[in-house]
Amino acid sequence: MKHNTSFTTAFLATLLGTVGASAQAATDLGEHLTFSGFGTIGAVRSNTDQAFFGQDRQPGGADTSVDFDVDSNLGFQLSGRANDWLSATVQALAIKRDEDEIEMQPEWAFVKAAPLPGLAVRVGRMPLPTFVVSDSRNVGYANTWLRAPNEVYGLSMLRRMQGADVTYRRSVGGIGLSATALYGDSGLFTMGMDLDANDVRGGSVQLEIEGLTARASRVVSDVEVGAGLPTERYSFTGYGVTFERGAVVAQAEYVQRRTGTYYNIVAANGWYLMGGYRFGTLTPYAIVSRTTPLFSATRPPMQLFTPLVSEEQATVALGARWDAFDDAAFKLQVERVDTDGTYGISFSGPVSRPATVVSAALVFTF
Amino acid sequence: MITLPRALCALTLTFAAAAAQAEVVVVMSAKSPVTTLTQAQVSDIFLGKLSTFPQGGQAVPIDLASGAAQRDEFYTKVTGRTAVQLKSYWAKQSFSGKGTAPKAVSGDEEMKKLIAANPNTIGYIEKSSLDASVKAVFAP
Repeated sequence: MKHNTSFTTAFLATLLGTVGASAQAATDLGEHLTFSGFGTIGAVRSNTDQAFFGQDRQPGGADTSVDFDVDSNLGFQLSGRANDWLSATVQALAIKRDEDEIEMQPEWAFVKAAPLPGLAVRVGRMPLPTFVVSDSRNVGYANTWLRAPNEVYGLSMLRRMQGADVTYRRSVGGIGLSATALYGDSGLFTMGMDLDANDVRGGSVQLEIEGLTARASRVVSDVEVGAGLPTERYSFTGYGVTFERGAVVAQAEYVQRRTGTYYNIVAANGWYLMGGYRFGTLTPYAIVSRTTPLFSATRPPMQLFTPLVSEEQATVALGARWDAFDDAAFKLQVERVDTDGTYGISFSGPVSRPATVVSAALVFTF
Repeated sequence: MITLPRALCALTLTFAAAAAQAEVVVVMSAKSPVTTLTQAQVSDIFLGKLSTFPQGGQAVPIDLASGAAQRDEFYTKVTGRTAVQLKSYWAKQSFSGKGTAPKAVSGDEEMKKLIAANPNTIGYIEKSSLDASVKAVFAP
């Protein structure tokens, strides 16, 4: 009898194991290489034809006809592992950036070395640690929300850098502490100009206690605004908290974008609060977010000559993620975006009344 | 040939065992110098946040393939994450180049064989599967 039971258990375990293994994401290519990928197929529609709705300062976007370019993306990643302490990662990502089309670009390419326990050094092209999910923002499967709140994530003007960063992580009695310092070069695209962002420096600190993570980050860069003009200091400071325990998931961030001479067209604050609750495979969530441009009477009145980089905008979003399959999930999000008659940060032009935006997405990994 | 009552009995026992949530223990090779670990350390090792044992030596976690009830129980108890949360976590880690999910095996026997052979590996099995080749270093 006992033999019979353990046989049944072993059989079931093997069966489950086989099903699980066949659905496993990532493919091993020999002993040292792993190929994996992710993607989002997203559709967006708004109830206004006054302007296009997008994210991250994308040109074009959604109006009363359905748009597939705002959220859709496809990423491929190749990871190589030489030994215990040396690895390399290359990621190619097709997404709509500054052009009005989806384009494949090498998103990151870096070599990572871990010479000592807890210490990691990366060299190459890599994301800046600006936000809670700056490095997995485009991986729909890794996030609860359909789209990162643009009032915060759309504020950052530097996307990634070429350089190096050093991270040290330590655990003391259940508390995880990590600190990152970085240095490199980047670029920013604004008002139709590609500008060099030199001497990108900064870092982040992070504290983890059980399900709670708190972080702060700051990135500073000297931007070349034009021949003969002094460089402009750009800075971006962010604070974030995430909480995950049991069925509850909550996240909040507050960010500050600042510059010197161009303060009155660039400076802005943004924040959001997100809360969700998991009912098995279904996670309904809500997000409130806001961005506010700043004005200083003691700084040059640049706003008289040129439009602001971003305007006032507040959004209330309701959505749900449904983990319908092993490596894929559906998401639906409905939001009301109020720009106070301006173009806000998500629209291509002024919108006179609050807009309602409906988005649906299929997110997957392979 | 298995008679019907006998098969029914086996089936009942299987369900009873599943309902009782057989205990999971975290194991390492009997040859490993590590004697005991805390929940936080085990959690950090299996989430890829800790790559060495506190006593020194590379830490190589071994997982059960996704879908196994024992795996879900282990992660819920030790890391507070459900299977769905864990998949999302590893998507986040791997696509930001921070780390990849542990290699997975299909069951206790394969797990023990691998663990026994390499003192750097760490895994989890059902308590009743414990034998002299491995030792328990943490019981959630």
